[in-house]
Amino acid sequence: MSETLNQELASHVSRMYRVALRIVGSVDAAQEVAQDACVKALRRAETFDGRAALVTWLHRITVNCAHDHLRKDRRADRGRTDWDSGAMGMLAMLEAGPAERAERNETYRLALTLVAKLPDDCRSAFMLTQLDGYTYDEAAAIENLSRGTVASRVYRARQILMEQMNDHLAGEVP
Amino acid sequence: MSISEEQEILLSQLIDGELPVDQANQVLADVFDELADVLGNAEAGGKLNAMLQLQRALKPWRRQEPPKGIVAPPPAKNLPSPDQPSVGARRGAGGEGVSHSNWRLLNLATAALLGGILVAGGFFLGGRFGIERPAVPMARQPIVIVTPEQRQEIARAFTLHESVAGPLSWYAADDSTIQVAPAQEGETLRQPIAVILRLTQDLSGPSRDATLPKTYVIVCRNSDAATIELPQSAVAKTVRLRLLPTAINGEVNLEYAIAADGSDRGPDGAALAGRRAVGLSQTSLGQLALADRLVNVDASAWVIRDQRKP
Repeated sequence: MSETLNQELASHVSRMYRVALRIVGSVDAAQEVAQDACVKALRRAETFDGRAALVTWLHRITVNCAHDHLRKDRRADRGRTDWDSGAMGMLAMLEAGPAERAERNETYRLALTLVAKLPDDCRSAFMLTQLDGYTYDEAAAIENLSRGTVASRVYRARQILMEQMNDHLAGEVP
Repeated sequence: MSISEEQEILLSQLIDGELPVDQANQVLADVFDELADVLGNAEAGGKLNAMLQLQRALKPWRRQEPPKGIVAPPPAKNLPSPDQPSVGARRGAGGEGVSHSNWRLLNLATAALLGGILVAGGFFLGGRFGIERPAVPMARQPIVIVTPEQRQEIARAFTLHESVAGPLSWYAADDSTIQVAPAQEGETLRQPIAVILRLTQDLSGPSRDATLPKTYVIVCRNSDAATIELPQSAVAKTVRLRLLPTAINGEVNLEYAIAADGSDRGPDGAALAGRRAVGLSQTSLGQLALADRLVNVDASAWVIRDQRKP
């Protein structure tokens, strides 16, 4: 199982890294978290019973590792906020990540900033599918929702974001 | 407004669903931009265009990748098996491999896999040595000084392997293979000491060896002799090391014996033994006189002080 899992892991690493990055907020920490998550997945290969989709299982391990990291690293935690804490977290992530090159891209910054302000349910579905790179089916498995619900939430998130972006770009929101 | 052949090819691929999603969205957005110029935005077209713009805006995030390789398919040769003990399995005085539980084997396999992964992903430092060199080269070859970053990476790699395989007596890696020796139950583990062993071609020899230079990263324990059989290479069919590092006032006194047994160029072997005070700069341990070439052996060594926060 571990060998198969190891091969499977290779195709999931990028998403695991992005999930970690948006939770812990720095490239180095995300790298560590993704690495830890891979190690844990390999060590727990025997406990994977196959009933849960592999993608769901790995996502859960990654999220848990990221939260463990935040708990352990109080000092970093004090200086940084995560997605749930609002727009500043987005900007911190932008500054910390390889996306620094895109820092001047106002649309990108604005979009990420506004994602943080989405309603919880929409935001989660939107981030899973549009940022982490999960398919609707995978996001549905992770969130324990139907595919239709995910589709609906992603659509609603887009609607909200487009309206807000238009408002910002039109100068209606300071 | 006519479109170029390149755009037409893209449209053709779009119809077939053959474009990656980001490129497909870009093509659609371009089409809508043109339509907007000519026809103005119909409602559905305008909304779709806005969605495409939003999707495109978030593309940089979706393209984020780990800066270093994290995981890859395992190199099969690193997998230890009960029938064929790993080269790195700890051997007793009689040369017999130590038996392990299945879980131990799984851990070892995982450690070996991770080792290979780290090596493949650029974690291994062999190719990066030589960055920090003195301005004046020494007579034989430039001195290589191990940088703090390299020391940190080695400490992290060792810690990672210990986190997977449990306490290790030693760990050895080259650019393609990782070996680990788990500590025996009850064994007292002293401070880890890292040794960089570097084999280079002596250019005064009659022939050239394309496989050199070769770098090995070894972590063993203070005042604890490690006997390591390095994997077969073009340098020699086998290279056996016995290292006994002793940390004295922050420096490492390295007792060593190196034996190389023949190669595909000839049956001759060579051996080298001695004791040196070794630090972060490259120190010569001597030369191995193989069949048709001389191989310089150099080492750097230091005490790994804090594995958790290297």
